[in-house]
Amino acid sequence: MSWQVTSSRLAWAVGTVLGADDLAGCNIDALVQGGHLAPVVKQDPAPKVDGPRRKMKVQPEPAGDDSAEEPEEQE
Amino acid sequence: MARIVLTDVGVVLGGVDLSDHVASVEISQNYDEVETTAFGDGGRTRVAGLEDSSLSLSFHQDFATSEVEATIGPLVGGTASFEIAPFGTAVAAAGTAPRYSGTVLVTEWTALNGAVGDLSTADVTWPVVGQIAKGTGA
Repeated sequence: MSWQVTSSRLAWAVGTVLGADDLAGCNIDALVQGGHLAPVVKQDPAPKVDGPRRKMKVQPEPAGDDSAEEPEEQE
Repeated sequence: MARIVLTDVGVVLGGVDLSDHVASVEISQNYDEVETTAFGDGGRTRVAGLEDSSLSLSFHQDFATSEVEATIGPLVGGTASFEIAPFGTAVAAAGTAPRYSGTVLVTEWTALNGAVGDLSTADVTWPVVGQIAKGTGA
């Protein structure tokens, strides 16, 4: 969770994003209610949109012609 | 250090600098008096007991966003850290400039007080939770 500074009355500049560690000892709820901080809402990464599926090029299977491979001659 | 006239006392309450809306401040450090007189003593003897200090402030009320009412209102009934710097919070105080800090219990708040034509002020005295710490520097 993180909060952005929204008032000039805090020790940090307006716009600074702070974590819970930075605000240790502070009454964060009161600071939010007082308009000094605003919770930073994490935006979820955009969902993956499935594009038009490309047709996989299907490689022609080698012809199942046994004659293509000549059996090794056994002596 | 020379005598001082208070012109720029820094008052930070709950992490919020409200110095420009505070007209007076009083840090009152008191200790319980515990009597230790025993037989054989020619007079009463005493030691200091628990610290029982308080912080008094006189605010200029302001209902604007992020100002006095918005800051103090949510703290009422709870605790808040405080820091009082006689030479201002922004001063990189040289050496011996004191800073007092601690935690107060916000027991009272007068949101509106005054008669016609008066400046709206809010005078409070809050008990300190624990002890007041005295430090120096910025």
